[in-house]
Amino acid sequence: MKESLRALRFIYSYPLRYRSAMTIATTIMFLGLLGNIAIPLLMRVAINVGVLGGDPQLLLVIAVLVLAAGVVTTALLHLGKRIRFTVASKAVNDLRHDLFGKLTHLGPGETAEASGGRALTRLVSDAVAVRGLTNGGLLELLIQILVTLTMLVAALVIDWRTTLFAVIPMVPVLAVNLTVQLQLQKSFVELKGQFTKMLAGVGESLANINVVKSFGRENAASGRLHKINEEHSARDGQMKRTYSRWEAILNVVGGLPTPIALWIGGTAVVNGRLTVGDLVAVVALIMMFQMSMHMLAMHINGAFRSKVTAQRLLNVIDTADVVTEAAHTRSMPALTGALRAEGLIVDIGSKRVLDGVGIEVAAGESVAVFGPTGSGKSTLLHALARLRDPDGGVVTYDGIDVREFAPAEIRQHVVCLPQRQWIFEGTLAENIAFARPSATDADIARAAEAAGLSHIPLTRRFGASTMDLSAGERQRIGLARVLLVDPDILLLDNPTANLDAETEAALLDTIVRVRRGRTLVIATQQLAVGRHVDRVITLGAVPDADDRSLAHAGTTEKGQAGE
Amino acid sequence: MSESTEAVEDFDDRTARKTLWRAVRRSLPFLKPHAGLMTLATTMAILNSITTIAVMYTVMAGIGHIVIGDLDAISGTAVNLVALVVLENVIRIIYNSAIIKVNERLTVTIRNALVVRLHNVQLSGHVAQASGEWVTKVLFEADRFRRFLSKSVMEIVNSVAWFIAFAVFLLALSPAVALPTLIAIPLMVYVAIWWTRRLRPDTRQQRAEWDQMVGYLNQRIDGLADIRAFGQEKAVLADLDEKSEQYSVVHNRLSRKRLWLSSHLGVSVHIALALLIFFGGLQIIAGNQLGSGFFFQLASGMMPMTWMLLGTNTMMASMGMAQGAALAAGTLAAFALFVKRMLNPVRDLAHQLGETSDVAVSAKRILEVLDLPEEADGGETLPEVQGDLAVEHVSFAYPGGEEVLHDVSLHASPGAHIGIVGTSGAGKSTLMQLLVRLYTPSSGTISIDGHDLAGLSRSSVRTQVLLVTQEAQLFDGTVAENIRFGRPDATDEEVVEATKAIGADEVIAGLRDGYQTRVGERGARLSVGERQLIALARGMLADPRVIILDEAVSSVDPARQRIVLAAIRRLLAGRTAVVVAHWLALVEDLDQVFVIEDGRIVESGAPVELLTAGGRLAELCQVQEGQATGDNTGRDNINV
Repeated sequence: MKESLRALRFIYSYPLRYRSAMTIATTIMFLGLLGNIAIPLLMRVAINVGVLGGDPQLLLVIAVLVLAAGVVTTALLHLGKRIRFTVASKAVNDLRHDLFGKLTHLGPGETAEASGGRALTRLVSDAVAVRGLTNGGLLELLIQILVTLTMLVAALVIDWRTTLFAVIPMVPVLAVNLTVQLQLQKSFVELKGQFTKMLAGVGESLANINVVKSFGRENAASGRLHKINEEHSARDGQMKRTYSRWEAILNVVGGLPTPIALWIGGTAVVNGRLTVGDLVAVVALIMMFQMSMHMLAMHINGAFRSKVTAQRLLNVIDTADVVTEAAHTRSMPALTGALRAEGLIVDIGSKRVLDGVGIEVAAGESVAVFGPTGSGKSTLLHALARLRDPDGGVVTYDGIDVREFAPAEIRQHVVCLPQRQWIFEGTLAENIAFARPSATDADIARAAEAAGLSHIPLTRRFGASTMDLSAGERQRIGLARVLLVDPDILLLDNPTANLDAETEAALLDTIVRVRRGRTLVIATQQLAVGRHVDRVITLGAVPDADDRSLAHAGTTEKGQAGE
Repeated sequence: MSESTEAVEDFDDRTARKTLWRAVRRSLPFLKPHAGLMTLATTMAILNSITTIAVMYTVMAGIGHIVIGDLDAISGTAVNLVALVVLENVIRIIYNSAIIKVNERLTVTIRNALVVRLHNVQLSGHVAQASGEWVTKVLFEADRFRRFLSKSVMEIVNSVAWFIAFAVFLLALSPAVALPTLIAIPLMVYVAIWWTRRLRPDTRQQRAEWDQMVGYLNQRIDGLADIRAFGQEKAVLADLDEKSEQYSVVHNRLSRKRLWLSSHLGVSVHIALALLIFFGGLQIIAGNQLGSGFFFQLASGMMPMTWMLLGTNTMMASMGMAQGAALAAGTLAAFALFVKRMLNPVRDLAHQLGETSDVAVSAKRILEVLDLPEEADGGETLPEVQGDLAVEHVSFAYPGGEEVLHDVSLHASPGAHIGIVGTSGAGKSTLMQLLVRLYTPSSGTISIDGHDLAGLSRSSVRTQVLLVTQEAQLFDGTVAENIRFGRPDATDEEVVEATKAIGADEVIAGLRDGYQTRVGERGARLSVGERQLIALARGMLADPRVIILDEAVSSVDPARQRIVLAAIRRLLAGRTAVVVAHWLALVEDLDQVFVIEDGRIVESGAPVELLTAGGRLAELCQVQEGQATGDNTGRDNINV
């Protein structure tokens, strides 16, 4: 319960950032809905005085007033809704900003864990759920409650007896409705999970289409998806059927107020206690009240569902940053490039990836770190570049603890190039300048040339799926980026993976050129790399993939890569 | 993503309508099996309209009784109303059940149709690259379109049914009440159509902007590591905010227009109400009764069910004695009570019209999938072969692309192992795909034991000629399931045997749950080496005559390389094999090597000869040898 409240509070905090606009919108909409209540009251006068009293002039006045009330009500609702969806858009953008900002503070492992592997969904559809909430959420609920109460009061004032009897059946309806909604929640969550499974299944099957075709297993592969599809649809249908049944029962009970009002009110008219106009007004108000209760249930339902989304989003927000910025940081001096790590311990999720690893690299030295998949090479680089604060141990540059520097400043001096270079939609020049947006065209051209990219024009555009770039060219774009930043320490993560030998040799030459006296650490599996560095280190193999505790760094002589 | 975006932007009204129609026609076969249920739902929708009118009518009559002061009839009316509410909900349950069932089946059949098409499609670079985009098409667009087919279509039927029932009722009851209300209806329809036209371009633009933003976000998530590595978090966030704002502008413009539509409709309802009060009231004052005898005759003819249910006989008798004006006031009041409810279906119809351009976009995307060329099958069945593989003068260009293979010829006698060596982009992968008939050559022939592949059924080719790719693609499931992929009927023993045969049994048995270990999505929970061993075991179990192997031993960590290499050797033993080789140790094993460059074979011969002759192969291998570190690591570990 406490968790749910927290989740809802979190979601609502976004629209509530625009408190004054939301207050104005809410007030305007409340007034607008009150205008709706004016209409039955006007009808009452029209029938009592205009029709039964035979006063055509009054009828004209009432007709004009009804029209005026209608126009004013519509105008107020229009204005209120307009303010509200503008705020909603802003709230969604804010949330998306915060979520993405959060992701930039997480490592890949944490991103996958926090978002259930679906970071995009969190950023896109889940963030949009906030729009729905702002448009029809908490404030709508509040207005609806207020308006519903006003309707009830107006009806009670005209005739309390009729009203009271008529609304009695609504009490159990509301209670049962809430219970049913709570019950359905679980199914709703399961359904979402199944949908995600289906998404993954289709994606996987299509990504592996080559294998499917090679074995001539198209039917089996699509059959597998049919099964997931069937299950999802069946459950979805089941849930809707259950709800539909409940809804019918609730509708029957919820439909009782009108007959009750007609019966009790009608008797009162016959007894002379009420006029026909009064009765019409009461019945109209009760009908509106019923409608209002229905909307109320819908809003409550919406709030329940959004809680699930909210909790997922909170999951992302709650994940601890992999780097914590100290309150007071010192400005970074020019580094000589001496790099040292001691007793590094890193846990990702429940896995210990590094356990007491140490490394020392002298200023201007180049070192290759060997080790099998999963031995923690990348994680070590991340810790060295302070892309991640270790759970234990310390990293120093020139003997100063890296935690004393601001992460943003470290990036100007230390660059850790990931294994797969990210190429985004845009020109080659834009892609290189990404590393330092202030770079001049001349800087970019120089960097591209030095990284061995002169055969690609800087104005060449890349699409979203860049199949037209070879793995080697991608690495060169990364190196051009490095040149723009001109760091003191350069860390490369498996730069020559999946390259054929010729490309690898050429790339290694470029790396040597780009390095130019910087301290260099290369994590790699390619023995060829060893020839290009001063020293080789092996990060111990871990016999059991689940047990990383044996990870240990040892140093071997130059040129001897131990296994 | 970007491609669809452009496509959406130049999607004009006419094309949208045509596309929607084409999609609807195309999906008629999906709807056909549910014709019975759809008819049932339609019937229920019509009955529902009639019941709603019966409710109005009963309330109206009830007010009449109240005016007359007939207490018995008043309680009768209350009971009738309760009965009607029950009836209304019974109808609704039947309607809902039918619609839910139809929805369930439609969702399944449409999605399945798309999935099947995507699996049987003629491969092209585009299909292989954009799997994320296809997923969106299969799931999201299909659901949107399905909603249109079932929900929107039913709602339109509903609205029309209601409109007819209501108009007949009103006119029969009293033109004085009918006219002011009926004036509002064309007004509403006009307003709806006027706004719908203006909504369409914005709807499309919103979809396009949305796709663009999703594509943008997708790319940024992809680049998170680099964004952090270069400390560009702030710059990217600022950029994201700009993109969000850009989308918001379009989204808000659309929302504003939608709001205007609904406000205009709202005012129309009030115009109807005001006209009703004024003209209806005037008529009553002038002494014209609103309820005419004609209506009751009509009602008795039209709705015998309702008739009995309501016990209208007694009511009619009492009506005869009614004081005209007061009774008319009751009628007027009843209408005033129901005017909103009466016009709601018209409003819904207007909203549905507004949605159609959105659905047209979905329809277009679904058609893009359904229109993909399906891989041609049929042809002769390939008999059991010896494995004599001949490629003669083959040239090939991808659909719409430049020629990537030029006049390639090679031959492997049964049981021979030939190698293809070349730098990346030389055309090796393309050649392999041609060999298993994933594509058909633009010119030249590929034959096995003299049978031209182009004339054979693809399934019969693929049972005897198997492609084992370097990506070692796995599916979420257990190790055993993945090994069994090529031969689903294989027993557990056979799975283990195949794994043992390639010498991978120990590695697999050493996994957390052995053969029952779940590999995760695309095999993510296993190392590269483990994934490759599973792919090799899968090939072993499938036991083809010819193997086309894209070897990728170099991406395996050194600890496992020897095991993978041994597994490859065992898999190839006794079969004809075409190996795209990267490792010197493997190259030396082969009977003959073809060096391919820029889509042409530039050198061929026995590897030892080629290496000593000092041609292109020797050059390639020299680079590799030069790169190897230390002399004591043994040839197996030299990365070629």
